Amino acid sequence: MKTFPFVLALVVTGIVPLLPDAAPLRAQGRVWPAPYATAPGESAMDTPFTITSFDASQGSRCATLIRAATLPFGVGSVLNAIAFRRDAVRPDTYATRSGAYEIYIGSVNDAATHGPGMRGIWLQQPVRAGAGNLSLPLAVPPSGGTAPFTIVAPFQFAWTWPGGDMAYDIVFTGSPGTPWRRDAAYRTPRVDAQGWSIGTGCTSSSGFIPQPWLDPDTAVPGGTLALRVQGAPLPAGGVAIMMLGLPRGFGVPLDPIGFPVGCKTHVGAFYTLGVPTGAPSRLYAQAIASVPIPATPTLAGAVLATEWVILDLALGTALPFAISDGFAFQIGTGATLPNYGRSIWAYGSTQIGASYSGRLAEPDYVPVTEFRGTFQ
Amino acid sequence: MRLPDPTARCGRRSALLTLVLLGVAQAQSPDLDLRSLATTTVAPNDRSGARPAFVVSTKLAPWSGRIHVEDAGGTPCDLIVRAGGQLSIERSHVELVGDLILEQGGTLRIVDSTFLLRLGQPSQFIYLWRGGWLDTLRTTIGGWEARSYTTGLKLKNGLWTARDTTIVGSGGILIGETAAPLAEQGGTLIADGLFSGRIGDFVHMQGRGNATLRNSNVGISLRLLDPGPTSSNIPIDVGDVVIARRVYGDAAFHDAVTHHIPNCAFRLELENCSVNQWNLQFREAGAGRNPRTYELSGEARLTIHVAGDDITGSPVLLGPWRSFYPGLDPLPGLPSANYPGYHRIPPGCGVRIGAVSIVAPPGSWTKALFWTLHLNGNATNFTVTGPSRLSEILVGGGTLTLAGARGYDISVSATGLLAHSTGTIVVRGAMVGTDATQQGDANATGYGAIVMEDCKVRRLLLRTSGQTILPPLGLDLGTAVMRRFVPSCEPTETLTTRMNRLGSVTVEVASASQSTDLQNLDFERGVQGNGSPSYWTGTGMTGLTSTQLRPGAATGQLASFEYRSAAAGGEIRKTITAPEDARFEWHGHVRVLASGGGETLEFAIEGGGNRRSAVSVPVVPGAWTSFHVPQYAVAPGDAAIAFVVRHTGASGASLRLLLDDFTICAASFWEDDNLVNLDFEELLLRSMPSEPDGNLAPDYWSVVNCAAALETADRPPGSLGQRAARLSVFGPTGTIKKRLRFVAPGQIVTVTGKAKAISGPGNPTSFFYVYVGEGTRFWDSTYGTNVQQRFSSGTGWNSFSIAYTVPSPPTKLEYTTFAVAGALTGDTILVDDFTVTVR
Repeated sequence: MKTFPFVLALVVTGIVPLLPDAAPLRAQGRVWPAPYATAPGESAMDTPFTITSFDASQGSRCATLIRAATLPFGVGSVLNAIAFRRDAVRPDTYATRSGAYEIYIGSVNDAATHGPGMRGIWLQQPVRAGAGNLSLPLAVPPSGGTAPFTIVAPFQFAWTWPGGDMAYDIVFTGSPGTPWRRDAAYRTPRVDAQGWSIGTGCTSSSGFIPQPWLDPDTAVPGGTLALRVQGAPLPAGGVAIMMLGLPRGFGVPLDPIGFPVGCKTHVGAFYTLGVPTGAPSRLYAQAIASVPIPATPTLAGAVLATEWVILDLALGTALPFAISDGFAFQIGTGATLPNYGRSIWAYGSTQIGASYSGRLAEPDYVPVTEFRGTFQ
Repeated sequence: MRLPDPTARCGRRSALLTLVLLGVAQAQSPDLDLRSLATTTVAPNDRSGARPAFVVSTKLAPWSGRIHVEDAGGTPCDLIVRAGGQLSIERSHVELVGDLILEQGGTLRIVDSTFLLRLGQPSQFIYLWRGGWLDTLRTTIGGWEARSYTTGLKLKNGLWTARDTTIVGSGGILIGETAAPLAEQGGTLIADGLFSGRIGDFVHMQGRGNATLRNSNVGISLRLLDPGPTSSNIPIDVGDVVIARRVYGDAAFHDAVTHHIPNCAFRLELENCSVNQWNLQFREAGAGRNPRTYELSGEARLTIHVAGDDITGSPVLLGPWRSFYPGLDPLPGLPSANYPGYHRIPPGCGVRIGAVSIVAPPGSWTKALFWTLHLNGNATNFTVTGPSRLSEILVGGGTLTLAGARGYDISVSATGLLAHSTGTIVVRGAMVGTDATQQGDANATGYGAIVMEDCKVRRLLLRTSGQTILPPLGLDLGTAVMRRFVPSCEPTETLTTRMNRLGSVTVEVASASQSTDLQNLDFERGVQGNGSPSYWTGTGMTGLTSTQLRPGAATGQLASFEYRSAAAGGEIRKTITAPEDARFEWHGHVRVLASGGGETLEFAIEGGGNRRSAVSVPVVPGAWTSFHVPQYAVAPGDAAIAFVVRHTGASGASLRLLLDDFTICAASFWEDDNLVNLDFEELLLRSMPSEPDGNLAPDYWSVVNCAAALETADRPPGSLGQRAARLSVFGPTGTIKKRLRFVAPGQIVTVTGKAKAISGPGNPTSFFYVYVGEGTRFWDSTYGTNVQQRFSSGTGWNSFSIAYTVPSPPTKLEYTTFAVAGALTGDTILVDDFTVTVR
């Protein structure tokens, strides 16, 4: 093992016990997330131990961000190793492989909502807790239950959990080869609403066609639907009427009744709401309408539509209103899951603290991890 | 759970379904590296404008997998989403060889994916909003960052909702343009989790659009126009701490403004955001504009951009600068806290350019890292002299002159240096070019001219015409000239040229019979008729090309130079010009073949008035040996400096030498590959490239995870100097180090010095190591011939002497490192009085 000399120094001085690669570690461990201590994860995670030909020169890395409330130990616990097991969902056997690892560990601001930037994860400089060679053992699919935690990455610097959200970041460098996948939790993600245009509105006196949209995470059963319109005519402080209904599938001309020439409506409205417009820009106004959605799960998947009619006196038409695009949207699911944390990975990158970013996983897709050490 | 496809219920399904291959078996392994999958190519289905396009005008089934959108053979193909078009891209790696265009009524949703424009050159393709909606979730989007090619994301009209989205390979998210047609003056960006990735650039608020960013970490650029005659002092807060909530805009017009900017065109709302870098663009700064003062508060990473017409004079420093920077060192041209600049703006001080004054508040400092200048108008005549760091420069009329004061202390990193229309840029005594990850680009187009003299050149492309960020003039009669330059010692440095059409590029170099530059230091380029090596002037000697090479000579080296005395005294020399305080060192290899017994041999760097730095080499026939001439600092009276190999005491042709592989470097304070300031007696502590956030290092050293200060009280017993270096460790491996590039396999590097460790509060004991080893693996005790020695706290000042044998390739890496490192966070290490010998 190639050991950073500071580590040796600490061992000699008795500050931290060194745990050599081959030394038997205490079996005592705590599995996170706790429900997976005895049950296999629903998924598998390639990163960081699967090295493709793309990454041969640099290896891969994976940061796991953990919500404090889900950790299976108390504040003041001293961690001295981390262990992983293979997944239980893949039928293939994983071949043995060797490589080198580094583990960084430290506190983070908010594991639940952190974005994909690798930069800025840490509240302060993380500890380079472990580094050295790492052998990935031959791993056959478990015949029922879970696989043993056979990948053990010891720390040379023990780390004491000070409380709060934390993260560990593993870099693995090895030869490219067939996949070696960690066991991973993968909770069914919540599905946000989606929206799309179903017909073009008409240009307002400000020169823009008002454009509706929604906050995707609000259009769920039990949520408060936030419907918005951008590009509304100036001046701000005018009136915008939000129409909510069903998509017509065709446009109904409105110019015969006094709207500007060419304007059509694409929505069969069953609900309207008038709101004032605001000023986000010198070019156009905006408006937002809030509509509560009943907490009825069967509403998920339903398709509704919205359209905005906005007062626009400068048009000079008999009915001086601008019409927005017609906009349909599909209601998402509203399930709120226990949030363990998130994973961020970057294939082909090993540099810590650099201005690069990884891929951010969906919430609650995290590797099943066994922490070893002395627990409070 | 996946929602049903609403369009499928209606029986509408695009025939294009057959074109896009889905079926990626990844339901249970969401992190599969999509780059490793087989590629599905989406070919054009339309020709829209100048080139083929894949047009989406109906609802398509989602795409997933690894997808290339391109015409046959990888030629460009735009992706256009039009009215009625709806496309969702999920769990995909998409490379688009063309533009992405979002038209009114078109919707593109990208989820759990990477979406990149595969650029063949910077800015070749763009993202363009023309009224459409882009919704991104857990997505990385941008240009081809792997090749450092950037693209523009031009939000001219329309909407981008971004959640957990990372920007890479970006030349900027450009929210409109005030001078553009109404429909292109700005769209809307609503982000919850927008992050700058590799080459993330800025969100540029440059038009009349609006942006709302929550839970994000990006760079922000604000375009600030002439506020009118009634506004004289405008505070702008650019603090880089997490911003709880802040709204920039014109309070007389925009909603809920908390930070009022008169005549502000845009509205920017930040909530729980960290701004990793600010760029303030002070526009309309030229003649006839309203004078105004901007007071910048906060310790952010800040770049400043000034643009205006017919600006004359020089930057005017405002306030009592000398009380904050006493002594004789030059005050800044444009105060920059990034090398070679080393000036933050002191409290109550500032700088005025044209109509714009930029000041720090009375109680705090302001730190600008870079400056960019866009100058237009034929009456422009603007000169910047002294320590400054500039990046992008555009001059479209008149003349901009940039001049170093001491030792190449003005830098033009030149990622975009452009003289266009009738503009002229003159650069003297500067460092030009950029680092190894990019290439500097100096371009004269139209009738523009660039003249560079006495510069230190890193990676730089000097060219006339070719593509620019500006529309072509039609004629390319640009002129670019480089005179009297010295190369940087970085091994990757290059100067390349390109000349298009009618322009001209001239790089003035010496001919073989001249000795006014640093050509032929390796003696591979032959001998003149008088026996002097090419590009050297010789007297009292003759010589010839030899095939005897030193051990460890680089592959491809074929020759050395055999120097023969022809008189009692003789020499070969080169003579160059260089700016004051440039520091030159000289390394090389010599072998004495024959001696009459009474000769002397020296290698010397000589200036005017008998100022010199020299080293004598024993004249004893034997094996190859190396020499090192300590630094010579160019003095104010030095019209030129000479590099001289000189002998005395010879009898006819009694002395025969072999000379080879000289290295002459102009060391700069921000570089660590030199032997300058080993005793820490140099006055200054300045920020190094490795410490972009401003942690200070002693000049000519680099530090990692520690901050340096000069120590005058606690110095080694018997030390002759006045200063030591104090290192405050704030990370797990606080390090101070230098690199040696010139050592050769088999040579023994001996490092001596003195150091002391002081335990920090709560640390039971402290320690440090002295290392001499290979490259970045110097710390690895098991690698090669690396050596190290450990010291503990409580033992006072420790003297050390470590000998290191330079290994042969492949164990030998690019360079040798010597370092003092270790200790724990909160500890302190003192170091002083290093010596380095190589034999």
